[in-house]
Amino acid sequence: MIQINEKRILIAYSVIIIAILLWVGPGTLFAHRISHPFPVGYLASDSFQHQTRAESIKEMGNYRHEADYIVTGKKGVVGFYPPLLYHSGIALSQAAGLETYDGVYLLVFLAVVIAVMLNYFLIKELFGVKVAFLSVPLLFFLFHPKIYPAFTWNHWPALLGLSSIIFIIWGFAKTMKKPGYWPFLSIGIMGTALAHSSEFIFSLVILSVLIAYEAYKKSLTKKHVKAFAYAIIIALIVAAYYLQIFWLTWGQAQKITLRISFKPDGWMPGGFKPVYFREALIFLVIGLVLATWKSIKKDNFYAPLALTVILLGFTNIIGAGFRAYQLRFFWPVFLSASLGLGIYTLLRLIIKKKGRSDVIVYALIGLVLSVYAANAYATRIGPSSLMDAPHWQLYQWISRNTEKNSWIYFFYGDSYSQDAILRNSKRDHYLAELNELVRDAKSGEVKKEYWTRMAGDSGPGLPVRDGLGFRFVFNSSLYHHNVSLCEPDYYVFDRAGRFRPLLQYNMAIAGFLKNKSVAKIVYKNPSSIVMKRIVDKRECIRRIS
Amino acid sequence: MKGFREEKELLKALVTWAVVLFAILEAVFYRESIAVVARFVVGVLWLFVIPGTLTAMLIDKNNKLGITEKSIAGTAVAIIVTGITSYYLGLAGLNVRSHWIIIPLLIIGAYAIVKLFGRRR
Repeated sequence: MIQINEKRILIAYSVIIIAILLWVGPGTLFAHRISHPFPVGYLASDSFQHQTRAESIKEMGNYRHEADYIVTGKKGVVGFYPPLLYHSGIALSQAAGLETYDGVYLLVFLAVVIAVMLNYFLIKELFGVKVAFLSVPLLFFLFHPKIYPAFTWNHWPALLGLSSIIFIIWGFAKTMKKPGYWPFLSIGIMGTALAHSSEFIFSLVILSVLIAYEAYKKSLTKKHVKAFAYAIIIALIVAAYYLQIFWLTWGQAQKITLRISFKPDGWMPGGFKPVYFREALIFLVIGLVLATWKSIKKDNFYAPLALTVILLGFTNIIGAGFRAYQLRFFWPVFLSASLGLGIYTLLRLIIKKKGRSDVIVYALIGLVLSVYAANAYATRIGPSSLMDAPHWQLYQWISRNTEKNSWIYFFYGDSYSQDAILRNSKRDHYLAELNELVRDAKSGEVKKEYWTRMAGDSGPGLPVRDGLGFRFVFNSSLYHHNVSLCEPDYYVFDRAGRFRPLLQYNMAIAGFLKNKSVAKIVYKNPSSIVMKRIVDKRECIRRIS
Repeated sequence: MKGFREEKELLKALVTWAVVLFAILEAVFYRESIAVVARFVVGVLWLFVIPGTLTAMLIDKNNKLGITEKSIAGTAVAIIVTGITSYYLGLAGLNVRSHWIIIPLLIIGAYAIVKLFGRRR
């Protein structure tokens, strides 16, 4: 007969919860498939930013530089993004035999699931297994409509950084138990430093608060201080190479200045607010009050931690901007112990019996509440994407069949305004500006030149190594300019999509180029055609004049 | 074989991990072929779970952490360590395409050396 013990219940509970989390999240988003014929679940330009950068690193073999087609054709631009996501994602995609776009995305979900499990262990250690069971329902807020875009719209480096913060907290708890565990803490700090720099800064604030609390508890020994010093110093040494790039590039381009503002950040209006926790908020507050009492009584560090992440989530008021909103993505994880503690305390008034036999009761309650939370609060995003099969084939064709130094001009396409998607062409690319194109389409006249966006990532201003520092080669005045119809080597015209007048105008331009014997069709599929300019620029200008 | 208690424990845990992970993923990604799910499980075990757990075992010298917690924390360790090592190996000139083989091998090798060296001492 199978003996029901705490460990078995814990394992069974974890397996069921992880399965539900994965089902609600990536299972639904990825059409219950691991491998896809084109990027699925990519719902914003920035998702393609990470996908194409990972792909380019795989092709270049390293991340010394940005691929020139990512940075508006500029050569020698140093790899300026935090590299952890790309490198671990590429390794996973290769080890698992997947395309990079699947591997990188799955890595993000894997990191979050691991963070959730570590958080579960942490709660178990701080408050016991029953509170850990009851804390789980809050995790389904990770799929709340105000948080889920963290996955589908690109905040992958932030999610990786936030997962590393959970690992840091777990590592901190272990190091407090035994200073010899400091390497865990150190690796966590390295993770935030190389995953997402704002989480690195947040993690140092959180760590300082936790250390200060332990000092208040008088539980810090010399061994602990030494362990923390080792952890931080070694992490900084390991991360130093990227941190100097960050400091000299992003650090100069996006300086955080102290300013008081209660206006929501325009880029991420409103973000996730505490009221979105709805009825769970009552239990969260009860749990937090109890946790604060426990912390004042020098029981554990949870309350200072929870209050710190709540406050950091509001630093948008003092100038942290959308970075503060990004921290809120993980409030459901950071604050889940409060929920568990709140519910547990109230249940204790009903369930008088104490001991191992009632563990299963708490597990069942946690499970029922989790299923409720998954239905009530989690949004289900089905298998949608800005990419579709014909466009993926189009980009594949361009990247394999056009000359490496050629440049591609994209006219109207439904997804092209999310311009990082165009980097899948792996060529320098330009995009006709939509507003002007709409005006031109209304007139119906084919113009000799078009108002154009130089599509690409300007990052912190495109830093190129210059001695020990950097010079910045991004020229914002060139970002928008008129481009002659005879400039591009290839033209992409969509013929299927949502806005018929624009598609008809696309065909009018294509017809014009063909009639003037300037370009010919070299590729077509049900959604797009690609034309190649077949005469030199001077002759082209003569023919279209 | 008395001295390999931890490694035996790890082996048992890995088999459990493989079965549990496969079962969960097979249920969640039910439209996927068994071969793809199996390859993904093997990939995650090879790249993250095995090297990560071995690293955690080296850190947890006195074997105080349970094997489940160690392998979960170890997976987090390996995600970070793999990314960082791959970044620097790439900068040093070693193509990223080979890192998924080299990095786990390096960690497994390091573990073996530390264990053997430790035993002899």
